[in-house]
Amino acid sequence: MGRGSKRRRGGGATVLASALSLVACEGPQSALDPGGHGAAQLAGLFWVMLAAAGVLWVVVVAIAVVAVRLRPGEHRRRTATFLMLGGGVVVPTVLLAALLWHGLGLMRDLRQPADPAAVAVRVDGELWWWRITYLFPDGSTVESANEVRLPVGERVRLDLASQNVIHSFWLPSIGGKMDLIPGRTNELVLEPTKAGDYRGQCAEYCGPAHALMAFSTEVMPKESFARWLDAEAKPAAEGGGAGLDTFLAYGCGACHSIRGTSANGRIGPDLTHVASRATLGAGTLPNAPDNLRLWIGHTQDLKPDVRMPSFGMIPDADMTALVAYLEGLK
Amino acid sequence: MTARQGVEVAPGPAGPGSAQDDPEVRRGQEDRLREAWKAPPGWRYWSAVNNTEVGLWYTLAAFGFMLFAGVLALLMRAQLAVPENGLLSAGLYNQMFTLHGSVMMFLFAVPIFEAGSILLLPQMLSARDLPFPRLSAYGFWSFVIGGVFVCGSIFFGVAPAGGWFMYPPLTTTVQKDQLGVDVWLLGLSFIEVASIAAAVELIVGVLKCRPPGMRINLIPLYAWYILVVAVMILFAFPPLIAGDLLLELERAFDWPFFDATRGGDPLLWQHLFWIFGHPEVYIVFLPAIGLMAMIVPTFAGRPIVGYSWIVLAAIGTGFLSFGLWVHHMFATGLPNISLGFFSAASEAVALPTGVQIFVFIATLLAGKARFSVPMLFATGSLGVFIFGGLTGVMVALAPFDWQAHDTYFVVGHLHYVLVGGMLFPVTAAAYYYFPFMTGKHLSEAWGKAAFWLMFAGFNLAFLPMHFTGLMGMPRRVYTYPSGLGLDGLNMASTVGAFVFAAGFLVVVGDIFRPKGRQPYARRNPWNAGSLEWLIEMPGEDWGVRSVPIILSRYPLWDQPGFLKNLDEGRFYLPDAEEGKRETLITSILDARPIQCLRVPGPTWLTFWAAVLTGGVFIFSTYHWWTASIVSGVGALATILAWLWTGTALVPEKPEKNVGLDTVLPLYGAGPASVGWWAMFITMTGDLTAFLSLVFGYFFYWTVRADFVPEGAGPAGLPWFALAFAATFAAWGLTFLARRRIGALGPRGFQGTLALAILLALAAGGALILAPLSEGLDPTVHVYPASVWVVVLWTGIHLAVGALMLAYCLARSLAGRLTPEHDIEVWNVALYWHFLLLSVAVACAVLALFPLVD
Amino acid sequence: MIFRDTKATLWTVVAPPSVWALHFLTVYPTAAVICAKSADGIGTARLVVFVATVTALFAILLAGVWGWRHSGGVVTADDPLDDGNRDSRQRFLANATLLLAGLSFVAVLFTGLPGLAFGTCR
Repeated sequence: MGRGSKRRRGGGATVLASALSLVACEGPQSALDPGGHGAAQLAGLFWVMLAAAGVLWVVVVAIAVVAVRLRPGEHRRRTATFLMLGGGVVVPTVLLAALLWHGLGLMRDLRQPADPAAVAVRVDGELWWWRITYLFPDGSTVESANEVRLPVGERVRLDLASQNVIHSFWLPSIGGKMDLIPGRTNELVLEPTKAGDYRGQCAEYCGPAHALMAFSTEVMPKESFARWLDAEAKPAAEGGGAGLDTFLAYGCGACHSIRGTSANGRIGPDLTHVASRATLGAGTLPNAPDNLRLWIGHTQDLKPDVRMPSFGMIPDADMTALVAYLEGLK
Repeated sequence: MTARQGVEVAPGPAGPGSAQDDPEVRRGQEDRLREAWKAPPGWRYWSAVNNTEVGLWYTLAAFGFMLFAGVLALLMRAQLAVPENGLLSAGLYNQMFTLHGSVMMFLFAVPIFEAGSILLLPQMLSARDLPFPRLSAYGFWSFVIGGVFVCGSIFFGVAPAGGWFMYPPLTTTVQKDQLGVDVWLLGLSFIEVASIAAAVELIVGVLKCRPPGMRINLIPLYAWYILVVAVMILFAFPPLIAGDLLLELERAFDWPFFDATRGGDPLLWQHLFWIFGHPEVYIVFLPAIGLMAMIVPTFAGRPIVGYSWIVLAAIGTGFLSFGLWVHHMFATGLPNISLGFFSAASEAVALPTGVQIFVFIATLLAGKARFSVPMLFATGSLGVFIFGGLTGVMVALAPFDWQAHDTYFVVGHLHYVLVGGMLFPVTAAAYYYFPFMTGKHLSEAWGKAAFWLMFAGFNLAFLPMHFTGLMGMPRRVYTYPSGLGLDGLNMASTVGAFVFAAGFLVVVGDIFRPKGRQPYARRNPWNAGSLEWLIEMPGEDWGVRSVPIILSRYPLWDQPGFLKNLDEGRFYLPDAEEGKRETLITSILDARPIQCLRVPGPTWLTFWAAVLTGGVFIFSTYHWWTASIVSGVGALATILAWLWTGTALVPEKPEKNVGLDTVLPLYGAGPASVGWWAMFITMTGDLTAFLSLVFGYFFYWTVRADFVPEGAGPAGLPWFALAFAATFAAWGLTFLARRRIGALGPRGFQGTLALAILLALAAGGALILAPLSEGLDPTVHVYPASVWVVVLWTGIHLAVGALMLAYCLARSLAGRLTPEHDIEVWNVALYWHFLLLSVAVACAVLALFPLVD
Repeated sequence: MIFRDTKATLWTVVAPPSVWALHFLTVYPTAAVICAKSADGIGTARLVVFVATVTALFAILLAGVWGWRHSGGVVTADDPLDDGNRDSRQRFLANATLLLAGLSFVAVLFTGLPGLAFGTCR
């Protein structure tokens, strides 16, 4: 079985190598493709730990294989004892102490307070979408949904809360996750360092549509962020016409708000600037007119148990007007 | 009564010139032993309680549940093979992952260790059976009934879908009307009770049922692990049972323990669940490592290097594993300093784990390793487990866990730990112990094929998951979008999972292929040194021909003429003169003989007791309260009948000669009896559950400013004082009855007990009146709910205490409880010690704390 | 006297990890309650952690020295302590106490580190 054990060691290495090559580790939702201070620290830590773990694994397994297969035969008791004390006690104690100390320091660093002057974001976990509220230092707010925009280079505070079940806010490219727990408001501080588009997702199992509770993120230069936030604060464009009529006629306003119209529901996402968002249904579909039509008509099929019923009964003409109106809400 | 230290161990086996020289004498003894221990024939086979039968059923049932959960996993992997797959609906997928985790943990990983121990432990200790065979049978039937109930629910589409961790408020709001949550809570609570029963059995088994001379420094390492794990169960499972109680009270009666709008806090559930959940991982892992500790020396051909180090590792892990639970809650927003303590303990627990691995490696180095299929699985397990341990060190680091938590990284990590640390060792043990169980070997060729398929498939399935997770895939998602870079990794995992399953199917095939023509293995087929291998091929129902004197850790290697002396009945208990099932009870540290214990034989009572107890839980799931109560009364009656007819039996003579000129008593009460130890151990677990409820009270006080509302307390104070006074008096009378049973005379004894019963009932009544007098409504706020739950718990215990006293009274009236034979009153008095403590704590917390806060 | 005469039992074996458990049950609830009630109390919490850690380390050290003496100074696997007599059993239990003292010492040290690392209740 000498061949076997070599194959096994080789096999492990091959699997590892192929896994590494298979994944370039890039992606809009990858903790290993960081665009923020926290994520960068943790990705770096991961690669160091992985390399160390690889070395330790190979050494320990190699000793085991030598003992069992390659050179079975009585080794000296002293060698065995030395191995037990060194490998079992001294080396791990030292390594773990160092790692722990580093980890504690990292916790302190990653949970430093946010810049007091920066805009803060309140995130409410809903069933199953995200209510996003930007909090200005002067106390005024702007509400949005399923999309978080952040300025690059600032430490931003996120207040995480929920009125229903436990969710977890996870934006892997920027930093670690934090739970949204009813009865508590948790603080998460993120520090994006690279402008770009990212994706986040709920990480705590929260019911049937847990898999479809995502959000998009755009990290923007500070000035663009300020400009965008000004625009976001404005009410919807005037003159909804037939589309708005349809919207109101089917009672959409009971659940959704469109600022500047009579629609002021609080149950579903605010749609004032829905057309400017990247996705529909909290990351379920890319935002495009055809998808919006599909979403309104087949909500329950696309996202199980979501609170919005399927509006398949809306006639084609009305639907076209409705979709045109909503897709105009930039 | 013999002192607890017991009598001297005989200097050696009966030598030439003894009666055992005569083959005719021996044949007669063998016939009598065979008759006493034989399994009942025909359909009555299922009334057996002997460890060989119950252990086998238990093992097979646990494997069956494992295969079921494995099929669920394959279906889930099929769903995740490609992005946006439509194979399974979200609802069904969520039920499947919930069941997969719950079944693997509650119906396979923990029970398989109980099953294996019931099968193996008596043999390793040369005991003819465990001390409470009927309790094992009761535990087994409870396990099967509860398990089938939980698993069957998926065929009706009502399986639990809250995850194996059942977090409220998901399970109390969105899933409020889903039956599945109750199936989980009640079905698994039932099984948890069975686990505690097994723990009691195994602790007493290891401490009191060892062969004479097997001092504490000579016991098999597996027994050390079992001892540690069984004690861990006593402290780990009760918090979950307390949590289950709170969650079910909220679901069924709207007591707002986890509802933040009425003062509750969902995090309490997480604390209680993980105080159970993390030790649980080690409860699963340690026995498997214990199996490795039996296998490795055999194939190294030498004693383990560093026996004390293994003991250190087992005990150390047992302790440290209780300081890790918050590492499942690193992302809940607790302060850094709190997280830091748990991060530190989580890193520290890697130390004893590492020691165990190096002890094995050192043993193999110092010995002359032979190769075999069990060793193949054992080394494979080391390779897999070490990697899981290393990723465990990573996630133990709180900041890294903020990324990895609740992602596929953790899925990968936990499967490396559990498959490497549990499934592979168990498979190794299946190959190693198959001749022990059936007298025949499994196939070497099939074993090798199975190993390589399992090893390759496992790594292909689970190694990529570490990257799947860090690249953004959370756990428990039934689908994922294309374009995140997860497609290839997921496909690899799915292919790997099926290869892994194919490998396991080969193991199953090897186990069940017909072996009629295959010859029996020779005795001690692996040349092991430990006692279980003295078994004949095929084995006899009596287990061990005579109970040996042990002078070494590996008697089969070290003690000359051991097997011959054993087979010729030259040790203890070579005969069953009275046709009774007998085994030896010995002292804890030095294993000096104390008592010859008569263990009970086949009965249907345990089966019916389990069925009726199961009825209570199952009917409660559907809120069929009447049926539930009827079933409960039936269960109580059956258990009382079982106790009355099968326990504390008065022997026909006070003592008997067990061989080697040793005369031992047949009856022992108090600390000299195994029943007293069982009561002590059970009540330790019970007290832990109670303290978990008290922990809940102080948890709410810590996190909520409105806990202990203004003005709470004074009205209930006199009632609490009265309850405590009455309990104290009842306890005093119970204690008096035990101490002075002879001096009181039958009438005085019975009168004392009757008075104690009245006082116990009065105490219960006063306790209920305390919150009533304050007008506390448990559905309004978490404060009254917390008061009521402690009151109810203590009140029910007082009622049980009164019932126990009534049982003693009845036994005394029937003339079965006398100053010479007083096991019952000893055990009941012990219960009352714990009860007094509980009532004192309850009254102090509920009556006095509101006044000082 | 007590030090020399105390016999090794299963209780002495679990004494050092019990000290770890007590230490843990002191530092975690103290920090948790203080941080939940008033974040300014962190100084007190750190003091408690420090005092508890030093005390626990001392107690464990004592148990270790006791174990060392009573086991006849056995640390390594050179003496397996596997004779079937009372002396071997005694020394084995003392040896297990010593080893657990070592592990508990490191574990308490680790658990004390957060008290050193964090100066706020964040």
